[in-house]
Amino acid sequence: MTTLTAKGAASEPAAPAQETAQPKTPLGSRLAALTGHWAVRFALVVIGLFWLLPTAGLLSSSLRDPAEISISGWWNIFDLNGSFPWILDRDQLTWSNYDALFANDQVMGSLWTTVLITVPATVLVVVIGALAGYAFAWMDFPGRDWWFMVVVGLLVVPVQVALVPVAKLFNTLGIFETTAGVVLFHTAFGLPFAIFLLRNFFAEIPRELLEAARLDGAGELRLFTRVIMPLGGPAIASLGIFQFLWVWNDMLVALIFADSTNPPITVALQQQMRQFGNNIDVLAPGAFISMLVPLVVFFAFQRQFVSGVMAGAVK
Amino acid sequence: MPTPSNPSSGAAGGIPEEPGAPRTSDAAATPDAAVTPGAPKSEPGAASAGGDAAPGGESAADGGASEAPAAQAATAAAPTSATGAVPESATAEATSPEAAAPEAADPKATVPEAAVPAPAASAATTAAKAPAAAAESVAGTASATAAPEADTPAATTAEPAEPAVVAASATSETAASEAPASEAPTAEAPASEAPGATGPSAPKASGTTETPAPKASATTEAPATPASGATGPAASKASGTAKAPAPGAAGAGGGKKGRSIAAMRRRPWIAGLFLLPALLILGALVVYPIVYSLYRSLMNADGSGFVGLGNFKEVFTDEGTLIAFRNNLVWVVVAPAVCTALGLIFAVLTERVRWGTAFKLLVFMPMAISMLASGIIFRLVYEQDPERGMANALWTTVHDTFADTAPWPDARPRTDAPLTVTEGGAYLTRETVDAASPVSLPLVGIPPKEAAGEALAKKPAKAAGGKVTGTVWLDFVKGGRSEHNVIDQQEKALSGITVEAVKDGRKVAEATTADDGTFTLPAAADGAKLRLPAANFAQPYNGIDWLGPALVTPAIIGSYVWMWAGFAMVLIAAGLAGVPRELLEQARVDGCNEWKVFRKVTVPLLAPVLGVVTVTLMINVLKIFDLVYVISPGATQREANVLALQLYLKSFGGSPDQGVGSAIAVILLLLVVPVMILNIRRLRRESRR
Repeated sequence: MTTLTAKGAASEPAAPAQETAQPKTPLGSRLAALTGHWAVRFALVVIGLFWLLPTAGLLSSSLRDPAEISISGWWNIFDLNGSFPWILDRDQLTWSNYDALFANDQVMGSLWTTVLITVPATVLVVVIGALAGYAFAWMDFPGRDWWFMVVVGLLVVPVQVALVPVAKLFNTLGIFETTAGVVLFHTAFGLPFAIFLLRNFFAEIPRELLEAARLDGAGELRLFTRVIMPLGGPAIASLGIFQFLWVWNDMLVALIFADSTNPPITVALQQQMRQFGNNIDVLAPGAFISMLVPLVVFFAFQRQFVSGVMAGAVK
Repeated sequence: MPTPSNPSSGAAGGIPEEPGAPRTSDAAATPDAAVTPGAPKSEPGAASAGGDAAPGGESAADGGASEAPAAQAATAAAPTSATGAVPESATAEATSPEAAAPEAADPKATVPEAAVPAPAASAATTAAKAPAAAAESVAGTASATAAPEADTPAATTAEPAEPAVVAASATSETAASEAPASEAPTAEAPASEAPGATGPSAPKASGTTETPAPKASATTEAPATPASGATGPAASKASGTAKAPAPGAAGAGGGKKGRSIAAMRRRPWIAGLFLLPALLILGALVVYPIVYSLYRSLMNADGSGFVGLGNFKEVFTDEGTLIAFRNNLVWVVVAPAVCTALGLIFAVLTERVRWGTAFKLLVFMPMAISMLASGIIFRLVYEQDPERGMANALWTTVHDTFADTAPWPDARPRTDAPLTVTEGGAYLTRETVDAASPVSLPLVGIPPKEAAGEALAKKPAKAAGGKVTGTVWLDFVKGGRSEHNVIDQQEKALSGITVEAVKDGRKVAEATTADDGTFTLPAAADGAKLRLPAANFAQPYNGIDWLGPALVTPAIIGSYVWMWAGFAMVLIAAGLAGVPRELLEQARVDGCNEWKVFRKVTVPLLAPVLGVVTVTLMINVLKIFDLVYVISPGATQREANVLALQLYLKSFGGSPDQGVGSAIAVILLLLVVPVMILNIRRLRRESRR
């Protein structure tokens, strides 16, 4: 019976259409389900390939000789004249772009700048956000709910609103076009989400744990560092990864607030881009290097990243 | 409420792992539980829980209490307890609140009826919350366990167990603290059961609670003191009830106070210290800029003079900005819709495929990389030259499969050739031809390399029967001596060229050159002029000008979809995991085909998630900047412009006008205000339940 069904399904691509006509028979549905399966798999493979190709193109371009890039497409790294499982044409591949990139102090310096911006901005957001989140979750003060509502309201404020005013403010403070300014800006715009996420998380920590600690004579700070932070691990991880990627990948804020002589990688590459085509040999490997860290983080911490993204669904 | 509660609450905890969580919260969210997938389950469970508890009477009361009265009752009780006599009041409340709620005094009496209808509702709510709360709670595992079991009283108890524990450790404070605890909902659920059968519930609670490792230990204490625990839960319930139902502000207030009392009674100023850094930064870099932008948008370019709404007027009249508006509208409508639709399709398709996770990972991956990198990637993809740009390479391949391609795009006659170039680009012989002598049609302009594969040109034999013959060839030899208009050795034939015979402007015959370049026309061609139509020499199809004025915005939206469809997919997949299989199975058994199941069952159940995803993407798209800035070439940046980019260019570009820039910023802000309000209302509803 089963085999029969399978055969029928295979030989009848029109089954999905037919099923509409005879929806009452479970057999019809099964047929449709089986065909669906086969077609679905095929569709998914094609879509997956489609999703992969652009990135593959960047990687391939970054490994080709600049002269070759300018006259032929990245797919020429495969010997397309051969039979189907195309083999890689090793003559097309070279590390020279990467060698040049690593020798390029400007680009390497900008990578370092990115690190110098991203790490403090992430740490600050986590720490300050956790402090505030704890206060919102477990402390009493006048207008607490009202304050928290303000924070939630700030979740969706577009960064663009702050560009002009903060540029002026930073100018006054003398931190315009400095790494510190970029860090502060990112911290500010990461905070609402951080507070929102961590407060909700901390609020679920069992009260008795806090009570027990208090009975043991722990102060609020101790409570925070010894109980709240350790228990908040998962949420802090999500937040940290999310914020890290956010800042690492930012270009707009850095474009305005970063030191333009020593900008983070995104801005450096953007500057390179002005004469696109002539310097794809710098852009392609540069973009790929700049993607590496986020991709590693992404694959290493998918779960936390996903939950961070989900929590950020309001952002 | 249904919509928002899902993502936000579930998200916090990590929806991804457990389907249970979202589902349950859904259930809670939707009043008409019947419709909701999660609801049916959790509801009965909750109901039964209520039933169990019923003996105690409190649980039922709780259920009934879901309305304001309960809240007040609780509060009423609370004040007393809150003030000082926490413990007693707590106990008192346990009984009283419920009692109070349903016409007081006879909690037990009330119980039966309440238990049946009311509990269902309230219980469902509670249960739902409980899972939701669990989801949020640290222990993903814990929540996972809790959620699925939500129906079981025990499960419900799990969370309450915590309150119970508290009670155990310090009954008086606990009671107070719980009461206020805004999270109380969770507490309530268990509480209600606890009263009913303190002994059993407590143990169960601990049992269940074990799952969340950290809490487990704490919870475990609960069983230890059954008696006190019992009281505790009751108290907690009371408070919980107060809050949960508490639309009444009183209840909520009481609850909050209680919690804070427990945690920080004596030193409220410490809260200030904890909040100080956040408030300082937020105030200086987020709130103040909003205010300043409002002010700045009313000032002129250099901020020296007041111009009223002049900047806004300019925004809405300046052509460049209007293009940005139009594009932003296209973005906001198209991008989220496409992303959500694709996300839904992917989520549904991958569900039954074993390697679905790998696929999801692949599609989700672009979210991790910067828009700059995506921009560079898609500049490569959208390169105009089909030899280099992937989009056009694919497109021209498809196109050329269905359309004829010109054999010799660059071929042309020499000036001294017997051919002239006509207006339409065709080549026409100067003289009419006759069958007696073979016709020579020499062309040049083709790189020898391209003709290398061709056969040598041949002089045709004189054809019989009045037919006209001739040769089309490449009249050029690399490095060799070549006599013009004569077929020399080594000269290559041009095959595949269409030759037409024309008399009085009408085509009378047609032939195509063979491999050796020769052609034979029927006798009708005698005395006609020969024409080589322009189609022979048309430039090859060069693909689509993706980044040209017409398509640049759709093209960039395409790259956005590539980046963000994964986001929609992951969120929707999490929602999908919460759809009960039985419902789908039932629909199938009832004779629905897959498409119908999808349309009539899956999509409606997912509606809340779809809504959240769409709104989120809309906000995101509203602020789109990097992709447009990076992908659009200078020549068409104007056509690709969006508000965020226009703001940047106006504020920081050449001849900056920060007044207009600020006006755009204010407009962007106004556009997100509805979502802001939505978020806040969601929050208030959630803290109330």
